[in-house]
Amino acid sequence: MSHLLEVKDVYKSYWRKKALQGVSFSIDRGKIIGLLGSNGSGKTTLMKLLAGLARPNSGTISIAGASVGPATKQVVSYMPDAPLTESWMRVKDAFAFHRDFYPDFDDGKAKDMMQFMRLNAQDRVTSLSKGMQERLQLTLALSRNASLYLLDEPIGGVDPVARGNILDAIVEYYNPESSILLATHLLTDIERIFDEVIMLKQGSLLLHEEVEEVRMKRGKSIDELFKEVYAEC
Amino acid sequence: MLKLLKYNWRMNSLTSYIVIAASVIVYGLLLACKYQWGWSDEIVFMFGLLVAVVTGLLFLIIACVTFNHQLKSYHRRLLPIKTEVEIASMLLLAAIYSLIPLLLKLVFLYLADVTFNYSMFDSLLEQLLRVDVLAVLVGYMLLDSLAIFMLIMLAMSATYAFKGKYRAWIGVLLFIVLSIVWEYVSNWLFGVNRQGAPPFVGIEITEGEMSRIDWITIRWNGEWLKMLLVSLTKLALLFAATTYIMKKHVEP
Repeated sequence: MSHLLEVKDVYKSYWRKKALQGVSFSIDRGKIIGLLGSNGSGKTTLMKLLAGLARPNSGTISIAGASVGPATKQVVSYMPDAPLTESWMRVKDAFAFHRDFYPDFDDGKAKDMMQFMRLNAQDRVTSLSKGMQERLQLTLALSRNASLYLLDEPIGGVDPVARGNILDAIVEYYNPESSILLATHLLTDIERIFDEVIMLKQGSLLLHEEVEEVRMKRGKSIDELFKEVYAEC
Repeated sequence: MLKLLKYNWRMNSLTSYIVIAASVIVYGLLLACKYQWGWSDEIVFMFGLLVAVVTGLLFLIIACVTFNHQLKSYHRRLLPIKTEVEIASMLLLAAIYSLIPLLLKLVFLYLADVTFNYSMFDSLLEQLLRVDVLAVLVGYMLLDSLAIFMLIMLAMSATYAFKGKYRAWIGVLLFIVLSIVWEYVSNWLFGVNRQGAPPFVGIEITEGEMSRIDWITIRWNGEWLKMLLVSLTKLALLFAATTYIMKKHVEP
């Protein structure tokens, strides 16, 4: 059976800085995968490559059997660490924008999530607090019926209560036929939702295992393993 | 393409309406100057021309800012649309932005009803405002504006293809070098003293024998088809180069 996502021997450099070095892994459908690493480990670079915002120097990436391009952008929903909205927009305009350009945008899901996240359609995006903007970003990303969701630090910079709400939303509105790749270094709250973890360190793949295997083999939680692996970073 | 155009227009709508409103107010003041305070037609015409140029420049800046946004915004680069469609949408926006100041200027000219003391200019203006000549001039102006904007887009794309603090200079240099190269190519193809500017029509001045009044007539330039094809080829080459750079090298 073919994998949903296949990354083979990917290298990416920015001038002399090596961001990714020989990264290879594959992901099947219906998984929530944690992409873990300290700052500068290559998580965001990898996400950008998968989303089609950057191109690898070498190696191949295929999503649902296709190379990264306009075709994969139709089935990949990316929540970056930059805004998905424009300063002139209201919340309703942001939804309209995504509805217009993404055929898999689900209006019903979007309305449900908007209520769940307590977003007001008439609010200007520039008037939203950071936490509310994160909620809007997540709503826009999860309102699509994509095959692969890429969430880059969805709970960074948000208060603990809001973090809980956001994680609940991810689990509530996640399509079991799809996969989620969630980059984070805040593990305490989020570990519970992961099926697998991928650990990056200085651009190289350290580990790709199921969470239960890690717990049984190493006798540690993911949080404890993370602290051990990245202690000197 | 039209959806992208819609959002590009909406993104700039406030600024665009302010520019249009300001132009209309200034044109209105110029008309008041003519009809209420007796300003001469020549001065009213020149100021009207200045307003049109400034409005055109402002819209060019708005178009460039829009393309800059298209190049570096994550949510725009994530859209599942082909690069060719992105560029075509930008060109359509630039075409609309080129036509707005022209339309305002034409309405102003109609309302101002300028008459020059020097009959040569009267004759020229009357002939330039003929429907067939006007259509060709508008078409030429549009083609020229799009070529300039396409060159700017190429330079901007080249800027974003590089990293580092001096990358803007790469775009500036590219713009200058390509402009010079194109001028050489045009001179080689059509000669340094090529007839007519704009190239599709020529302006011929003949002296009258009896009254010593100069007359201006408009005539079709014999090489108009060659010139049109060359202009379209230039646009196509710039389009292809920009597409290539955006696809292969631009990363927000």
